[in-house]
Amino acid sequence: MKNFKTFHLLFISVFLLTKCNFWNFYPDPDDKGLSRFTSRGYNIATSYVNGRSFVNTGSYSPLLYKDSTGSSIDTLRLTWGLYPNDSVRTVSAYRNISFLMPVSQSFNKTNLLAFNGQRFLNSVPLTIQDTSLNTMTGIATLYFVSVSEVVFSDSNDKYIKLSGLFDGNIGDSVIITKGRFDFELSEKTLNF
Amino acid sequence: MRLRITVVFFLITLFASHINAQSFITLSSGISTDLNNTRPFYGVPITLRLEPFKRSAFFIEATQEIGFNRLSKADAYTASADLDEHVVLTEAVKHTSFSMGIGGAIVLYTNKKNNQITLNLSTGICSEHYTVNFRNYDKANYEVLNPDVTEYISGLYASIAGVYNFHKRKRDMFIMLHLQSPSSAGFGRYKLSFYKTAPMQFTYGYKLFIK
Repeated sequence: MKNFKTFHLLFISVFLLTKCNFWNFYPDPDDKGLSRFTSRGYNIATSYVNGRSFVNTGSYSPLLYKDSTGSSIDTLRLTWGLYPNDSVRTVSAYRNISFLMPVSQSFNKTNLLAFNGQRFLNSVPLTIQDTSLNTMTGIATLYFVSVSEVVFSDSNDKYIKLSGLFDGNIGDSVIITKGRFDFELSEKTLNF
Repeated sequence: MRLRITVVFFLITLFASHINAQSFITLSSGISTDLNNTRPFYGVPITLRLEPFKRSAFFIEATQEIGFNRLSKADAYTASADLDEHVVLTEAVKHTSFSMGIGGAIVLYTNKKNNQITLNLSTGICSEHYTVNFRNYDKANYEVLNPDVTEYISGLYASIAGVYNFHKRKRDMFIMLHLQSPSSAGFGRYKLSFYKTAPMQFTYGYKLFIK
């Protein structure tokens, strides 16, 4: 009986945590398994990878940071997790997806805000890390539909809101379609 | 607060002044607008009201509102290299509702010709359907930003109406200005570009006595 109660509590906890992760997932009626395309800082990214829907739940926010390469060109890296979001719910073959944008060493917040409305067609290096920690490299289109700065009046904290669309491929083996993201990142987490 | 409103309506229903010599049914229609949205929804309400008891102001009413499309602009984007990155499309939102409730009428004024101004108060259940469609839209390649979605809600409402009852050519007619609260039901957390409607209906109708 005691074991049953423990199991019961564990199940409820896991269920609640799962529900929390999906708190800002609003299903797109036209694209099954994907969240709607929004620009409200919902911290959600969804896409089809080889026809299966994937979502970034598990990590609430993406990682956005500048990698120093030691040359005059650094890399701006935007990374989030890839978790299956279809009825099958099998173990994912992938861990995360990253977009690697070449930027100047002096790249800063103002430059990031200038991405607003810019579409980078078939020119953004893309990597997907699989569960064996192998990294596959391809190319992507990344469209920053909206990039803006938000200041919360109560705490005076500043956030960057990023939303946009993406698709890409890694050769013919991995095809990414209908990707959309909507993030709100604290400026404190940025390293540029 | 809701309890107080319910109690008030109940008391009005019980103690409303006796205005009927006989029971009757009314049918009215007109135009409806919306007081809760800056770009309002419009519709045609059709209301059936039954005052079943002689010497009582208690009534049962049902209203079907048939909405017109509310048109606005929406933005859609694509990552596809072969297409324009941004298109503006037309969003049509249609609001239809059905409400049914009970209430009471209070006579405010009666003239020598026995024309009356009454105040009707009612409460009941309302179900509303907001149907969202995007026109001229390539669904396969474009994504609508912050899209509205079709919603169905069902909840409680309260309403107040001013009614002028008059006789013309031996017929009993009335005009009514009817204000209804937004439904007690919510849309959920996802933010839409519209709010729940608060209909204001201006209708004209006939009163048919039941012998």
